[in-house]
Amino acid sequence: MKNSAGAFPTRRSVILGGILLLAVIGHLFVGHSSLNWNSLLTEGVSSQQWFILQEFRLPRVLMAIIVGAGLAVAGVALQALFRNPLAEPGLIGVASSSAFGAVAIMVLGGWLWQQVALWQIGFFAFASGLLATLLIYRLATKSGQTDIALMLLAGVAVNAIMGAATQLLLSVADLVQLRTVTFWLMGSLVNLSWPSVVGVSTVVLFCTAVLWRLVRAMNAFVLGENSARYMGYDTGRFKWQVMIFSALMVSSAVSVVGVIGFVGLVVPHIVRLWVGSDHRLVLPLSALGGAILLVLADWLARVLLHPLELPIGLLMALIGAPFFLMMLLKQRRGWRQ
Amino acid sequence: MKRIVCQDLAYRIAKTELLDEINAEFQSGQINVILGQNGAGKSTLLSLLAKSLDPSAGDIVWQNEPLSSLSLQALARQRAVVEQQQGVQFDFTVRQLVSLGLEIQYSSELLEAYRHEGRFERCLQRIITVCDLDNLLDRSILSLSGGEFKRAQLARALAQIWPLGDCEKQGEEMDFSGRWLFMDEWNAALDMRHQQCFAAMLRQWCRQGLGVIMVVHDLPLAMQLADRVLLLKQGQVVAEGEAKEVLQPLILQEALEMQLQTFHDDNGQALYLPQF
Repeated sequence: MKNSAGAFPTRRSVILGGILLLAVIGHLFVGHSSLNWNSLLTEGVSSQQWFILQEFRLPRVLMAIIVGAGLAVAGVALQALFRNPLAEPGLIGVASSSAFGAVAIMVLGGWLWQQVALWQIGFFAFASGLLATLLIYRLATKSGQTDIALMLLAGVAVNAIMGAATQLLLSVADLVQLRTVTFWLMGSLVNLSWPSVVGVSTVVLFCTAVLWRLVRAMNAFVLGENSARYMGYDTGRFKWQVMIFSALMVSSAVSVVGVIGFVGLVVPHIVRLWVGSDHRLVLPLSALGGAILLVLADWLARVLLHPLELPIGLLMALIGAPFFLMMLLKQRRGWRQ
Repeated sequence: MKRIVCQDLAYRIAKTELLDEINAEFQSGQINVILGQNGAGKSTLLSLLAKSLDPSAGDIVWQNEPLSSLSLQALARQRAVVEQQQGVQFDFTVRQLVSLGLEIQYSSELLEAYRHEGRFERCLQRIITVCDLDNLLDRSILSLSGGEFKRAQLARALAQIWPLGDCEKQGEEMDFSGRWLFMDEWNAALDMRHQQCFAAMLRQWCRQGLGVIMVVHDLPLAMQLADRVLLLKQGQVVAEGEAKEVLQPLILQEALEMQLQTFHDDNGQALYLPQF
C-alpha cells in the first residue's frame, strides 16, 4: 500500500537523519586547519581543541540544525495558511519585519538600558513579525482564497518598508552597533553562545510540536478555508495558531542569526516532489531537510572562500532566489482553478 | 424522519438583506432542491445550513437540535459539502484527497485499527469505484480535467459521510440515515453519463436514509430528481414543499422571471424548459 496510510514517515526520516549526521560530521571536522578529520584520526583531541569544539563549532552546527528546521517548518505552515507553496517567511516579509523589530530594540534599547537582553530582542522581533503576517494575510486573502500576486506584492511592500526603516535606524546607530547589526542582518551563525542555542531550540521544538498537531487541519485547509470548516476544523483558531507559532519560530531564529531566506521555500518544495503534499509527511521531513540544508550551506559558507567567511544569509539568497524563479515559472504553467 | 428546519432565518451584510424570513424544511431520505436566479440567496442559504456563516436572525434546527450548539467536528461527521469551485495548488493524489474525507470520521487510534484490518482500504476502493475514479487513483489532482476533479471532490465528500461500519455490506444494505450531503452546482462540470450515474446513486442512497440538499440551475435535472423544492427569489421564499406542488409552470415563471415551454418525457411527465 502506498502512503495513503500517511503514518509518520519513519523510514524516510531515518534516511534524512543519516544524511544530517554525515553533514554534521563534515561541518565539524572537514575544512578546518586544526582539529580536522586527519588530526582527529592521527593525533586525538587535545583539551584546547576540545574547548574549540565545545565553545565554537558545536553551538554553531546545533544552531544551523535548529534554525534550518524551524525556518522550513515555518515555511510549510505558512504555505498551508496561504494555501500556496510560494509563501515563505522571507518573501512575505515576516523575516524582515522580525529583523526590524530586533534592530529597533538593539539600537533604541541600547540607548535606554545600555545592555539589551536576548529575550527583549526576541520579543520585539516576534511582535513585529506577527504583525507583518497578520497584515499580509489580511491584504492577500479574501473569503478564504489567497491571491498569489497580492501576497507576493504585499510581501515586496513590507520588505521595502521594513528594509528602509531598518536602514533608517542604522543611520542613527553608533559605529559599534552598526558593525554588529550589519553583520548580523546578513545572517550569520558565527559567535553563538550556548544560552542562545538553548533558547532558540526550546522555541523551535515547542512550536514544531504545536504545528505537528495541526497537520491534518493543514491538509484540509489547503483545499479551501470553507472546505476545512466543512470537514470539521475550527479554521479561525487554526489560522491564529499558524500565524503565532510560525512567527514565533521565525522571529526567534532571526533575533539570533539574522535573516536567512528561502529555506522555507526550497526545502518543502523538494520534499513535496519526493513524497507528495500530505502534511503528515511534509512537515517532519521538511524539518530534517531544513536542518540538512542549513548545515551544508553553513559548511559551504565557511570553506568556499576560506579563510574568508561568507554570511550564510547571502549564500542562501544566492541558492534560493533562482530556485524561487524556477518555481514561479512552474506555477505559471498551471494550477487547479 | 429527520429534518433540518429554518425558522425565520435572515442573513444580511451591512444593510443588504441577502436572505429574509426564510421558513423551510429539508427532509432526510429525500432530495431537497433549492432553485432560484443568480443572487437569489441559494448559496448563502447553503452556507448557513453548513455553518460556514452564522445567521443574522432566526434559527436552524438540525435534527431536533439547534445548529448553533453543534460543534464543527460533530457536524462534519454527519454532513459533507460539495462546493462549487475551489482552487487547489497542492498536488495531492486522488487517493489522498478521498482519504482526507474518510479520515475525519474517526479518531486517529480507530483509524489506525481500521487501516490495519484493511477496512479503510476496502472502503476507499469502493468509493473510488462508485465515482469512476479507478484509473485516476494515483494521479495528481493538479493534472485532472475539470470534470475529473469534480468527481474526485464528490468522492471526498462522500467519503466523509460514508458508513464505514457498513462497508462490508451490499450497496442496498448500507445505512445512511442521519447523514446529509450538501451539493452546490455539483453537475456543472460533469458529462451527462456521469451526471446520470450520480443521480441514480443519490436516489438509491436517499432510500437508505441519506438527506440531500442541492443547489442547481439545471431545471430538467431538478424536475427529475427533486422530492422537495425550495424556490427562492431575491432572498425570499416564493414556494416550498413537495416537488409536484412547487414545480408548476406559473410558480416557476414568476420565481425565475422567464418564459418556459412544456415538454413531455416518455412517461408522459411534464418537463419545463427555457426557450432559447
